[in-house]
Amino acid sequence: MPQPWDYIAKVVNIGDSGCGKSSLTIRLCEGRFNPTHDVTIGVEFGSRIIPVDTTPTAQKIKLQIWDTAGQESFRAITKSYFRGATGALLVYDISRRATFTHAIEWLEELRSAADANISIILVGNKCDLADDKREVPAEEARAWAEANGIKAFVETSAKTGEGVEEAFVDCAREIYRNIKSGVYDLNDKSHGIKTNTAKVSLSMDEQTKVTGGCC
Amino acid sequence: MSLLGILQAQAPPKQDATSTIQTLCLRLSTSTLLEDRRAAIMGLRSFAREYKETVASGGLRGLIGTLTKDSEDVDTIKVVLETLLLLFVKDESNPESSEDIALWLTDEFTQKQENITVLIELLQDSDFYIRLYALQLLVAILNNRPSRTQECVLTAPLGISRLVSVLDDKRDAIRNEGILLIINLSNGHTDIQKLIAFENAFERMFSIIELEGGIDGGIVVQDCLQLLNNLLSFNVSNQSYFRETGCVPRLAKLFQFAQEPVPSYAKGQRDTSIEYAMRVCRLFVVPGGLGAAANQNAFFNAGILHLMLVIAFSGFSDFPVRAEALRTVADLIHENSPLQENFAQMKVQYLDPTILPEVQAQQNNPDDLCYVIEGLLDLALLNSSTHAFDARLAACQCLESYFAGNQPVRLHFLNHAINLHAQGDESANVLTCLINLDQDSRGDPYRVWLASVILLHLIYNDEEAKNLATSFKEGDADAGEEVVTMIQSISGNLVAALEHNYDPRIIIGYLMLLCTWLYEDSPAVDDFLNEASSVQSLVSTVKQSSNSNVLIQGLCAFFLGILYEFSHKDSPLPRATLHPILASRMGRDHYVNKVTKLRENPQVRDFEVFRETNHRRRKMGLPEVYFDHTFIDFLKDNYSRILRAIDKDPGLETHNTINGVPHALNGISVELVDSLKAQLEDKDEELQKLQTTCLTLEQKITQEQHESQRAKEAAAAEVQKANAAIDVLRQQHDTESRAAAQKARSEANALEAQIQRARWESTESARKAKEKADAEIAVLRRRVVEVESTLEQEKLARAVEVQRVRADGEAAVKEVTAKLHAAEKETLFAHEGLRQSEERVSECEHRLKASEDALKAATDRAAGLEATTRQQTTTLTSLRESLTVAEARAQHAEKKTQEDQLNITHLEENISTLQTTLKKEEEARTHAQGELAALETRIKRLETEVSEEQTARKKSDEVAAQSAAELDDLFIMLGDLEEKRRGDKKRLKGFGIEVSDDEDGEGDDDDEEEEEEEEEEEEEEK
Ligand SMILES: Nc1nc2c(ncn2[C@@H]2O[C@H](COP(=O)(O)OP(=O)(O)OP(=O)(O)O)[C@@H](O)[C@H]2O)c(=O)[nH]1
Ligand SMILES: [Mg+2]
Repeated sequence: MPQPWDYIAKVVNIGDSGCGKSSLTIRLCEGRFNPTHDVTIGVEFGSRIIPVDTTPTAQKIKLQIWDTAGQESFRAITKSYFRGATGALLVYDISRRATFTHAIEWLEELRSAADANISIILVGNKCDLADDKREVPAEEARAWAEANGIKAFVETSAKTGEGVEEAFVDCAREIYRNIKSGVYDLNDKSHGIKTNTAKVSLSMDEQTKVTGGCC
Repeated sequence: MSLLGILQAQAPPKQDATSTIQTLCLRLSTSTLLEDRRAAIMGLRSFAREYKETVASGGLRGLIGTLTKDSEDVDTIKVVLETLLLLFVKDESNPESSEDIALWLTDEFTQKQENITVLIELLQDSDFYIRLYALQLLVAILNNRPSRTQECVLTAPLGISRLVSVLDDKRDAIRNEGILLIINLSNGHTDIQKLIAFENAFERMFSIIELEGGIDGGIVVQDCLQLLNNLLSFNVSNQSYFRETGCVPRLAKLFQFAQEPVPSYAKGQRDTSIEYAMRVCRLFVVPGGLGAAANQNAFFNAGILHLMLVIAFSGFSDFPVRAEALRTVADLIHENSPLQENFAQMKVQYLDPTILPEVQAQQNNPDDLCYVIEGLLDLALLNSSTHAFDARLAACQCLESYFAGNQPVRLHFLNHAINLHAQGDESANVLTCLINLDQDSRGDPYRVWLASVILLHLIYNDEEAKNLATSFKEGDADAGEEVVTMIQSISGNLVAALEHNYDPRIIIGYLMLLCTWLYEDSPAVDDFLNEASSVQSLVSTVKQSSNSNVLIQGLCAFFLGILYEFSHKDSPLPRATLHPILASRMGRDHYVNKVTKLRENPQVRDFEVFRETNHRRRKMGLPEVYFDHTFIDFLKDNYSRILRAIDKDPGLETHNTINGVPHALNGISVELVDSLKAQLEDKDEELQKLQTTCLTLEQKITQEQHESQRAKEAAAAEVQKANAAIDVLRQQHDTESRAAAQKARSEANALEAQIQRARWESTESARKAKEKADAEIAVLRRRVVEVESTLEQEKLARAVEVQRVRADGEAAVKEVTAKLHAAEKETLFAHEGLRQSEERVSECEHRLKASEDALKAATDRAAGLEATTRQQTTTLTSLRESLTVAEARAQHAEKKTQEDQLNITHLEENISTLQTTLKKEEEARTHAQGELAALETRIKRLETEVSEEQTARKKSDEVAAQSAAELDDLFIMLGDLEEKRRGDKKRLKGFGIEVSDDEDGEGDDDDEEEEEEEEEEEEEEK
């Protein structure tokens, strides 16, 4: 049977250990929250199909999310997954300033390994703690993102779910815009974009039947 | 509606592959039944090809977990391994497949040591597919993350040992996969290489090679050789282990038949295998390597040097094999003087260099021999086949190794060449090739090039050899011939080559030779400068814009730099003349530009990179080889000095210095001569001054002239003295430095030997330690087995014991049951006894009643006595009779105590007295009758009480005891009664009435019986 998506895009979650990368992935893919910190060993991955606009016939992008380990000791391993990433969530923890100051290192490492056209979103996680534990003002983060050529910034809470969908949807939409404006050479595998050739040739009504799902 | 709304409103996913896979994954991870898990795994396998990502993301951990959980279930493990392998396979057409997935799978194994350990453990399973798949998985993992996997294998208990033991598998597919795995595993990891070697890998490799048919064994043999290559490459410890465990002769054996003809289809593979085996040899003798000398000797003793020469000079060998054999030879003799001398004495098959290789095979004649040096020169200088180039270069390399570190050899070789050339000998000769630039040489530009390189190696850094070459002259002046030096001949050829645009290799060959020759050698420079037109020719080549050969222009410029740097004012073309030619005519910037371009050219800059590869690929035309490695080293070392030479003032002479020490020019120190000259000039000046100022003082002038004359003479004497002193000093210095060098060399040799020994010792001790450890492990393992067997035995013993105990128990139970039965029986008996007792009680009651009846009868009779006093005697008699009857009855029922009997007798006596006094008791009779009646009612009441007491007694011990007590009371009362009765009887006797005494004894019996009953009851309760 045909796959229920039009494109697959590879997205990596990066950032310091404990800032909530795995939590964001689990929130998006499984809709739950785990209060304990199960340190990621190497890399995990999940996926989620996201329609790129609100029309019922919207094209769908399957985000293949590679949730990398933040701990220093896995740096060598995680780096090999940056190659070919189409999108990236650069995550920090708004309640720990150090995770934000390290973002520049993550960004440099990502840019040195990934494609130049990669869509990066800066994500300030744990915004449920904003009232009494905030250490990074949203405005400062937004300004930093702009200064470093990152187009989008969003604050999220994997705990409450706030902003999580938006973060990934933003990412998917930007990738879709890039696809449509021909930024990627779809024949070149190194972009981490794959087209569903079987699906593209389908009739419209077949397409509308297709539903989202989550692995 | 918002985008989020849409996301949330999405219909639940319908039953598609994705959700089926999810279900299967869930079942795999949660199911407790093996059957269910197995079914889930089968399902996942069917999806694994097409839905790699989905199966991997949800099922990988479950699948890996099964390897441990269900390790007993061979079929399931097989399917799991197969599924994992499917996930690893890259499939470009499948969007679900990506390199990331394979990487992720790999990381899942390499990030968790236990997962690698499980795979290695599986290798112990003898099942074909389990072993094969586990090996293939390890290969895939190793390819994706080599160093992590190496560490994991190293960490896994007995990891290396288990992997290497796969090589013993009789099934080829597994063994061959194992070889590939170990090749990858050993790559670049010295410790792993050592461990593999200590697992007897060399022995195993040679066994496999021999099993497969030696050098003709095909790809498997090639793989084995590749593995040997990995284990020995830059691993000195493994090399000495290899050498000391007798593997060198086994390696030598591979070459024994290597020069024999093979069918053409097998030739390619065999040649590859031979080259691999030769490369293994060369690993041991890398020039400058630590164990090189020891290895060279071992290899020589194993006959490998000889075998290499046989292959190198066999008409059946193709050029690539010949080349590799010669390179091996070169390394085998490099800087080893005993072997170099041995080598020169060896003979090889003579191959006519002018015959085509194909024909050579037919003319193969192993008995037609020549010295190896001749064979090498023939090949290097005269074999112009384009296919032969590698072999020619290798032959040249052989000669270089032959010369290396051995001045006597160099001088001998050069002298020999000079003599042969002078004799006009026809055989291949370096000098002849350099001097006679004929048609043939122009057709084969590498002839001159190789001859230049060989001579370069002969004279490089060897002053004596250089002087010998410099002093070479041709032509008989007496016979009117022009006398030319070798430098002049060569420069003449160079100029001709430049002017006629000969192949650049010829020009470059000559220039390489001249640059190294003339560097720091002013006499040689002067010899060259004798022909000023040569300089013109060089300058115009550098200036040419049409000749765009950067290499030639750069080299010419570089050479001009050398000429200028080592020229002096007395040179045939003095510095002052030479400088403007370079700086102005050619142009200083032009010079710098050309020299820089040369240095930056990839042929020079990246020479080391290209060295092994650049000429191999070329199929057409001449190889792109222009430089010799020694020359490149020389060029790079001296580049900046020569680049700056042009900026040096012509008045500033460098002269020729060696290592900064002023060096004698024609035996006289330049500096000394200069200072003497300066002194002379001063004196001349002084003289002139004196002559002009003291014209009038002629005497004084003459005197002064004398004086100056003397001074001149003294100076000359001084010069001579100085010369002599200098000569002495120089000789002294030379001998000293030679001795010092000798000493240093011998010390270095001793040190090297010491290092060698130390290394060997350490390897040996490591090996011994390893062996010991192995032995210990073996002992430990044996002990484990022993412990396991004793454990087993103990288990068995315990089982037997348990059985016995159980049997005992059962017996005991049986016994107890029997006892119980017995007890029950006893209880029954007891019941029976009780019943009997009860019967006896009732019997006693009867008897009591009877006694009572009798008493009544007696009373009746007493009443009758009352009525009929006359019949008293008869009644008494009947009473006595009945008494006798009662007595008998009592005797029958129970043992009657003597006391009773006595009592009875007593009673009888009493009765007889009673009888006698009965008549007297008439008046008391009525009273007695009343009392009797009361007594009777009392007895009746007592009887009911007794029966009540009996039932009550059965209820409980206490009640029984109570009853007993009451009974006691009763008996007491009875006793009282009896007392009374006795009193009555006395009284009756007093009346003369006979009374029976039965009851007394019976009452005692009752008492005993009751006690018995109580005991029985107690037993029952127990
Ligand atoms: N209050 C709050 N806690 C969060 C949030 N997101 C994650 N956490 C908690 O932060 C801790 C770390 O979260 P993870 O998602 O495991 O962190 P990570 O970035 O994946 O860490 P590494 O895997 O080590 O790189 C966990 O205890 C989470 O429960 C959030 O939005 N709010
Ligand atoms: Mg994580």
